[in-house]
Parts: sequence; C-alpha cells; structure tokens
Amino acid sequence: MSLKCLFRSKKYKEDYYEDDPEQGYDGPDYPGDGYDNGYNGINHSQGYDNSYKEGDPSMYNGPVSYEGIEDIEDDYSYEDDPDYKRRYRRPHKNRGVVLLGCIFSLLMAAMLTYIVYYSYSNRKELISNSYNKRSVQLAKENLRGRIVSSDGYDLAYSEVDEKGEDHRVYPFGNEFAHVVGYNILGGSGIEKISDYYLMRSDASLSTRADAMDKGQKFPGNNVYSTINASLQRLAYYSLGDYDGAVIVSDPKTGRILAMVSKPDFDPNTIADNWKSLSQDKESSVLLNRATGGLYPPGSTFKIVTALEYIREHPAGYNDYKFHCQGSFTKDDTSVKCYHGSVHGNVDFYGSFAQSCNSSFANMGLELDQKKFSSTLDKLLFGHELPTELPSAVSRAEASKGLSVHDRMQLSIGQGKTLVTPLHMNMITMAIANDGLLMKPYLVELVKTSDGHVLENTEPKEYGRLMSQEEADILTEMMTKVVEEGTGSGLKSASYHAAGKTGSAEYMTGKTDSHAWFTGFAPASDPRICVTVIMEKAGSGGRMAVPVAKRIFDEYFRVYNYGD
Amino acid sequence: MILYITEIAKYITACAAAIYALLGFITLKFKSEKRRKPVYVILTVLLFTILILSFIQILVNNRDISMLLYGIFTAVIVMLLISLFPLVFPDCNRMVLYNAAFLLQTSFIVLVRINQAKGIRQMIIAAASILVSFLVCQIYYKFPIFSRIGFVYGALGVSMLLAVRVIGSMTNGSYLSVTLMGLTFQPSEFAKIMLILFLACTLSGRTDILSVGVCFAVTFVYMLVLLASRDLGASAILFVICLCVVYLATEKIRYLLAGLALGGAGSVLAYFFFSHVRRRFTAWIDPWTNIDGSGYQLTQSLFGISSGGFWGTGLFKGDPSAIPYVEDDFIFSAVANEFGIIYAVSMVCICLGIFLMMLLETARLRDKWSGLLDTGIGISFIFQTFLTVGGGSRFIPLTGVTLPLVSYGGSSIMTSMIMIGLFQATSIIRMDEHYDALARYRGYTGEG
Repeated sequence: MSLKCLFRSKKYKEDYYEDDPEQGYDGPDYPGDGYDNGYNGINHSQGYDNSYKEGDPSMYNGPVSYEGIEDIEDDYSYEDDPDYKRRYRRPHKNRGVVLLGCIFSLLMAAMLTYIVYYSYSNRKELISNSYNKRSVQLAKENLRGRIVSSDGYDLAYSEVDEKGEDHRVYPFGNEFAHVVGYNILGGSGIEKISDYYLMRSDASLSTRADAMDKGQKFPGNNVYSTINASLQRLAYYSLGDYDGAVIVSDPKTGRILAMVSKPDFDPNTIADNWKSLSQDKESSVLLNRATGGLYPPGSTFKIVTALEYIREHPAGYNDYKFHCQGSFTKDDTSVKCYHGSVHGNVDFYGSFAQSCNSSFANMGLELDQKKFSSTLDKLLFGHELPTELPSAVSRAEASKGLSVHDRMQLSIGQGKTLVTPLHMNMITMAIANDGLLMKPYLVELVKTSDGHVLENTEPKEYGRLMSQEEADILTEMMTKVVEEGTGSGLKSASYHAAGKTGSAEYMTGKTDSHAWFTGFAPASDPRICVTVIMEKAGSGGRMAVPVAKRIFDEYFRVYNYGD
Repeated sequence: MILYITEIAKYITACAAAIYALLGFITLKFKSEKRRKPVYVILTVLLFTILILSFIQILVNNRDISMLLYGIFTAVIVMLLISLFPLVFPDCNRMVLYNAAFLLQTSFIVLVRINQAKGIRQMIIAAASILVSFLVCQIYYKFPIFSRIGFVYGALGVSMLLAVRVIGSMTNGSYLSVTLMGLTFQPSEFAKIMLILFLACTLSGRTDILSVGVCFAVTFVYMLVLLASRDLGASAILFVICLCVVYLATEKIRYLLAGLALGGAGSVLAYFFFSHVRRRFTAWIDPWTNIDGSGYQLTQSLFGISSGGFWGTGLFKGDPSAIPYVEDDFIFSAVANEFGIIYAVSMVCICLGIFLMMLLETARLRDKWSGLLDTGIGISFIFQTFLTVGGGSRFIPLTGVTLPLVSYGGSSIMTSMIMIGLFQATSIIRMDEHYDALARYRGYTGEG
C-alpha cells in the first residue's frame, strides 16, 4: 500500500472538465477558483491525470455556460442513477437534521422574543431602578423635563445655575408634595411614574442640535398631569390643620384632579431634610395617605353593606324595616349609633341616610357571608388597586367563621376593616359612572420639548363593579343622605350632590373618630367625585362635608363660568 | 453636525445588521455558491457600511486618530476571512465565512470601544486564528486519515483537561486555564473540538449500542473532569453536543429523550451538590431582592439590554462597563446597550444562520464523518450562543460561557475559527461529492 492512500484524491472535477472540453469552467462561478491556470489548490500531489498544461488550447476551450450544472444540481437527477443508489446510498438522516434545526430555531426564537418583550415592556421600571447607572448617564445628557398641571402651571421644572449644575424646582412646594413627588432618593409621585420620559429627550434632531450648539443639555420630555392646580390648592387649604387626604377625580374618565395628603413636606428641600423625614415613624410625613393610608372606613362602608343587601334582596330591600333604640345587641355583643343617637323607625333608605349603626348591624347579620365575600372581592378588597401609584391593599373580610361581633363590626365598617382613601374614591367613581370603574390616572400626556406627543393616556375601563340598577339605587340612597340625612351640609341650589359620610372610630373603646366623606355631583350626571378623610376630626357630617362642599362649589363655579 | 452623523449612523447600523441577518436566512435557500453570489455583494457592502459608521462614531467621541488604525486593521481581518479564504479554497462555504466575519467585526468594535488593549489583542488573536483555520481546513481535507483516529482525539482531550487540573492556575475559584510560554489557554475550549472529532470518528463507523455507549462514556469522563474544575457551562455544552450527534448518527429518538431525562436529573443533582449552582439558580429566580450581591451581574446586564432601546444609545453613549465581565460573558448586553436590541437580535440570528447552514451541509453530505462533524460544530455554536445570551437576559440561569467569535478570549476565538476551518474542509468534501455525482451522471446519460 502506498502512502497515497493517506491523501484524499480529488479526481472527479478534473475528469469532468477534461472529458468535456466544451463544458469547461466559467470564470466567475467560483471566484478565485484557478481551473484556468491549472487548479491545484488541493490536489496537485497525485490522484488524477496531470496531462493538463496551462494555456494548452487543446485541453481547455475557454468559458462555457455553467447553466447545465445548476439545473442538475437542483434536480438531483443523478440520484435516480442505479449505480449511484448502490454506491452512494445516503442514510436517512434528514429527519434528524430537520428535528434538530427546528428545536434550536424554536429555542432561539423563544429566547429572542422573550428578550425583546421583556426589555421593552419593562423599560420604564428598569430605567427607574436606582441601581441602573443609565439614569446618571441620561442626567448628564438631558435637562429633566417639566411637570405641568392641567390648567397650565409648572408643578416641577429644572433650572440651571451659574455653575452649570441643574436643580429641580417645585414652585408650589408643600401643596403638591405627595402627588408630584421628588426624583431623588428613589423618587415618588409623578416624578417616579413618569421618570422614564422625564429623564429622556426625544426632541427632534434639530432641536437637540440647537441645544448642543448653545452648549446646553438636551431638553427633556414634558409631562402633562391631570392634576388641576386650583382644585389641588383649594383642597390643600380646605383640609386646614388636620392630617388626612383629599382625592378629587372624574368618574367618566378616571382622571385624578387633585390628590392631597397631610402632613406634608417641602420637596425643594427634601435632600436636606431627608434624615428627619424618613426617620419620622410617628406621623409618616413621606407616606402619601391618599393611596397608602389605611383607615377604618366607618359608615362610608355602609355603601358596600347596602350593595350586598340589595344584591341578596333584589325585590324586597325596600320593605326593610327596623326600629332603632340607639343600640343593637345580639349574643352579648352590641353596636351603638353615633354618639348614642336614637333613630326610631327607619326603612332601608332611612337607615342609610341617617347612618344608623344599629340597623346596619342587624342587616349585616342577615347577609350570606359567602356572597358578601365575593362582593368584597369584586370591589377590590384584598387586591392591588389598578393604578400606577404604589397603593396599600384594603382589608375587609367576610366568612362563615366570623363571630356575630365581627359580622356586626364589618357591616358598619369598623373592626378589622381598613381602606385607602383612593379605594373609597374608586368605589364612588364606579357608582357615579353607572357601575363601571375607569382606571384612575395622573398623567394625561407626555410631549417632547418641541411639542410632539409621545404618549397620550386614553381613559381605560377597569371593569364593572356593580350593575347599572345597583348603581342607580346607591345613587338615590346617597342623594337622600345629602337631602335629608347626615350630609345635609351639601344642600345647595346650584347642583345636586350625592354622598355618604362616615365617622370612623379608630381606637376601640374611645369615641374619637376620623371624619369621612365620599360622594359626587351632580347626582344626575356626575362630573366629579370627592373623597375626604380628616384624621381625628370627629363627625364626618360636620367636618368632612364642608371640605367637600368647598371643592364642589369651586368646581361648579369655574365649570359653569367657563362653559 | 456631529449629532446628526452619530444619530443617523445609529439607525443605519441597526438596519444594516437586520438586513444582513435576513439575507443570511434567504441564502439558506440557494444550494449553489453561484446563486448566492449577488447576496455576497450586498453583504460586503453592509459589512463595510457598519464598519465605517461605527468607526466614525468612535472617532467622533474619542478624537484619537489612532482609532483609524484599529478600523483599518478590522477591515483587513474581515477581508482575510471573506476574500482570502475563498481564494485559497474556492469550494468553501462563503456564507458561513460572511456570518463569522460579521460576528468578528462586531467583537472588534465593541472591544475597542470598551477596552482598547483588549480590542487589539483580540484582533491579533483573530488574525492568527484565521491563518490556523486555513491550515486546519487544508490538513483535514487533504488527509482522510484524520477521520479514523477517534481514540487519539478522545485521549488528547482528556489529557488536556487533566493537565489543567494538575498545572492549571486558579481564576475566580475555578481551575480553567493553563499558562504556557506566556500564553494562557483554556483547555476546556479545545477539549470541545476533540470531543466533536471523537464523536464523529466513532459514530461514522458503527452506530450500534456499543459505540453509542462508548461515546457517552467518553463524554462523561470529559464532563467529570470539567465538573471537578467547576466548569458547568462547558460540561453542559459537551453533553448536548454528544446527545445531538448520537441522535443524528443513530436516528433514534429514544437516545435524545433518554439523554434529556439524564440531563434534567444531572441538573437537579448539580443543584444539590454545588453551592455555586444553587447561588446562580436563586440569582436567576429572583435577582432583584439581592441586587447588591448575587443578583448584581444579572440585573446590570438586564439594565444594559433594556436601556439602549431598539436603536441603542450609540457608541460611547451607553455604559457597558457597568456590567461585570462585560467583555466575556455579557458581551451580548454590551452590544444590545450601544448598538440596540435590533442589532443584538440580528447578531444572534446570524449565529443561528451559521448553525442552520451547517445542518444543511450535514443533510447534503454523503460522507458520514463530515456530516457528524458539521452537526457537532453547529450544535456547539448554537448551544453556546443560547447559554450565554439566555444567561445574560435571564431566560435561563447564568452559566458563564462565551459568545462564539464575539466574546473576548483567545482560546474561544481560536477554537471557533478552528471549527470553522473544519467545517470548510467538510464543505469542500461535499463539493467533491457533488462533482463526482455530476461526472457519473454525465457518464450515464452520455452527455460527456
């Protein structure tokens, strides 16, 4: 055996061309191929007839078409050749190749889809993360954008000082502290919600080139909020010295027009005061009470109890009768009416309008706990609220295992029941909007500094919390509260309001209470919903209703005036 | 003016990459190099468009004229691959060369931008690797004896891995590299080639249960040595290569299924036996709670991928250096950050293009050894890509392997180029088969 067997011989190609001088090689087919100068890249050593001489015209007759080869290759017609089949039978490995190809292609496709989806849908959260140094980079390039109120005031903007450093300025200071928030130290409020847009600059190339020529930073995108500055300020000052929260919203769209939380702080100096503010556990100044404060709902919760009673007695709720003697006792546990008032004979509407605890405790004991539990679930108790602001989760539990005491406490919104003001406002919004809840939102528009709209928030339905009939009945009941019940402070000539007051006891055994009001106006065609909570203020009817009234008055004054 | 250039360059680069990847897939449809020829013209234009625009951005931001030299050097290496290789081996598969050239070029640009010293080192190694691949291609084509010495590869691979255990140096708590004459090697990369060659040699002969058993046994020996060095990613790659090659050689789905079950059981065992596997697993499940510690790498990588957006921040506008080990394990995140997600996804699609082209060659080859070799190489490319990209994007737990041809690393680039050289040798063999069949056909039909 010669050493030749160690080498791969490459005979065919040359054979082919030599056999068929008319079917020679056409230069461009294999670029760089050297057939015409004696192809020898691989096989010069041996294995084929070396008789071919460079430039010998008898051996090689110049360029000829390669078309024939193409056709044959694509047809694979030589596979029909019996000799070929015998000698070059190829294993049936195509199935395996196809399977492997599919598996890995699908794997890669899934991975790439995941990467694109994940990084796009989470881009805002990822960029706002304090560990992401990208925001530092962006802050060097861009001047953070403005936050503008719906009536055109700047709520926050950035200013460049003589040294070329920029500072965040909040012209209204404490008044918008929680809702506008701050952008340092983790951020909060709209500053945090819209951080992604505020820190970026999507202005046109020419605008940015102008800024660059002037040696300025690129102007960031501006955020247009749903907050109405005059309503916000009115709400802020109406709350007076009391701690608490006010939320004003538009039930038809979900726009939040004002959101006040007290105690407050000055966002302009937050960096300096951070230590004392963040360590203050007692009054939790930094907490936005409107979204994150958990309060006993007191009588405002009777809206929910009444709704459940209507659901369980769709035909008979109107026949409900109760004789109130100032308190209601069952199984050694009793519930008193507010400040021991005695309501006498009350029907379903009367119980609600007079906010009779005894009657509602009685009603609560009649309710099917399983159905009540599902109603509470549907009304978002125990769930994250569908809102962009971080909010606390409200608690209200109905179950068969509840004691008589707990059932009675639940039906009047005391005991373990806790809600956030925003949640109460959202339930009110649903009633005002025929049972349909719109998702509350704070950011209306995001525009580039040269006016191009980047994001336009469309009002979105969250879903139906109750049927239209139920909403109508509740509206009627809440109207009666204003007309002849605890909310009579809202009786007004220019509009008809509907609402429910509450005086929620926050410490067992004491009669001190938080003052609640939640309601809307006009009752026939609701335009705004107002929820007020004043900590340790006493009676809802006396303390919270006047605050709501001032907001309604102002809104309808401007509204009628402007229309 | 500068702003206009850099911004527009950004968009054009991303589009060029997307078209490049698309053309790569379209080319799979054409069987002959002749039909692919017009595509190559476009690919060359796109490749140099990306190169020129990238170096314009680098020059604008760096204002260092020596950057121009890097650009020229990159162009020379790319030319070496896409022009010289086909000149020397006219029957080679140029599409794979083009795809490899794209990956190499991306690697050079990103590395020059992150760390110039590493960039130039990568270029020199790449140039040397391309020359080695010429040699490998020539040798393996020329000497069929190399397709019959499976036992040699098997032994060579194991001894390499054992050598690293004995004389290797310790980096990051694992024995991974060995230093010889001032050069640091990672034998696990070379062992991968040895295993592929061993499998191809063994299974191209008989495919009975005995040879399959031998293949698995040898693979397990490799994996055991690697696991002892705590190199989990490399052992996973070897296992998958073995599984796929065995499946393709035997056409028996039960081997694939049994192997997957075994792999699953092995992963569970690894989870309980190795503390660093557990650590990586928890970091994968929830990187956010421990963002300062075990989740740091992964979250920084996610930030990097996401914050560039679809079009990227533009070169020098992002912050890839924030990611630890960005040049090696997280190069994908760096590319996604500055070149944008479109470019990064196109890059992965180009890796997929290489894999599919290799599978197609397998399907067309009559020579079983060559076919199995192609499959092994292709699987190695794609699975490594999957591990590193998936690991950096939290699709799968992090394993710490390199992205072939893109990541920084001498051994990685050398082995990738050797594998491409081997693949090209099989391409030439495939063309020989084609000419042979053609000659036979002519002879029968009497056309000759």
